[in-house]
Amino acid sequence: MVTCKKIDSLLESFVDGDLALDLSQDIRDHVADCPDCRIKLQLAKDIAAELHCFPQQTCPDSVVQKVLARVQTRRKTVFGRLLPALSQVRPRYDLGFSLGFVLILVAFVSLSIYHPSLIFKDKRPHYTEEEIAQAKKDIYMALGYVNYATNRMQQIIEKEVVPQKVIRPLQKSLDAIHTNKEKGDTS
Amino acid sequence: MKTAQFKRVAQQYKDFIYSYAYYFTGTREDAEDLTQEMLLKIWENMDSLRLGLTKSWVTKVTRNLCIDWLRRRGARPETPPPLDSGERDPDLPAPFVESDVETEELRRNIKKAIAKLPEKSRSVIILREIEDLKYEEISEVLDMPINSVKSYIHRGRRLLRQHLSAIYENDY
Repeated sequence: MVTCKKIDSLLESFVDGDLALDLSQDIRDHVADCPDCRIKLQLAKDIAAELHCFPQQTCPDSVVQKVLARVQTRRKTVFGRLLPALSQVRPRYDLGFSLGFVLILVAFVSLSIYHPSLIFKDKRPHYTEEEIAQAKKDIYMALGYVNYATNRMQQIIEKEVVPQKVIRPLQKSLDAIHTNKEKGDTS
Repeated sequence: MKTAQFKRVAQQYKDFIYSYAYYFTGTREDAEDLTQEMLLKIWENMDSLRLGLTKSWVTKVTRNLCIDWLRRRGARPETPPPLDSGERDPDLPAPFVESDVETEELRRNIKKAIAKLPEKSRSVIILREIEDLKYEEISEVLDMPINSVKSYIHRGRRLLRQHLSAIYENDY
């Protein structure tokens, strides 16, 4: 059993013959007894029939002429001349990418030469004047210690090491040579 | 060279574009503006499209222009519907019997009602019923299954009927 509400949503499909046979028969039966739905069906049929009669409209030739005039005006300007050239280039993505890459490379090299600080980060530590003065003082002090130690080492070598390790053994050797010589002369 | 090619393409599609825009907007002025806009797009894209300049592309872009027009129009108050008077609409066919004023009035009201339908139903009805595109072609252009196309046609015609039944309440 189909209701008026259900029929209302199916009338256009019914007119086009898109419904199943049993459902179509139900609608036919309902419409035969229901004057409201019969009116709706008639209107649905009229609309479908009239829509088919609607003609395709003819565009006035002046529209094409206006477009051509606009195109000619645009072509006379500089931008208008550039536009077709740009539209030709647009599909060449490979060319675009290559050009872009070269431009970026040139910009990078130029910056690294003329403004290296913009490209390369200065990694050297930064000291204050006081820190530098203190470091100088420390270095002078260290050099003083080294100097003192060197002098002291020289004194020790001259006074202790050289006499003990070099002069005394030499003296002993000389004494021994002299004694051996004297013994030889007596014998 | 390009101008000659453009003239050939324009000749091929101008009536299709104008007709779609005319039934979509309901006015000749807007239809002419939209047709000009669309033909300019064809001119601009002729070099890059070459083989891609198909009816499907033309329909898609025309529809997008019409949707943009709808958005722009939504921002300003609605213009009074055209042809409200009882005069004959020269864009609609004359009825078989000259005295059949009712048929003529029905056609005029249907035309006005089409321009008030929701966008998808409007486009589908224009493309199918007036421009005579196949379901497959509409399905491709609107990027929807064929069943959805049919359903939008039925929905659109139902809305037309509901709109007209208010006018012809006593006549039927």
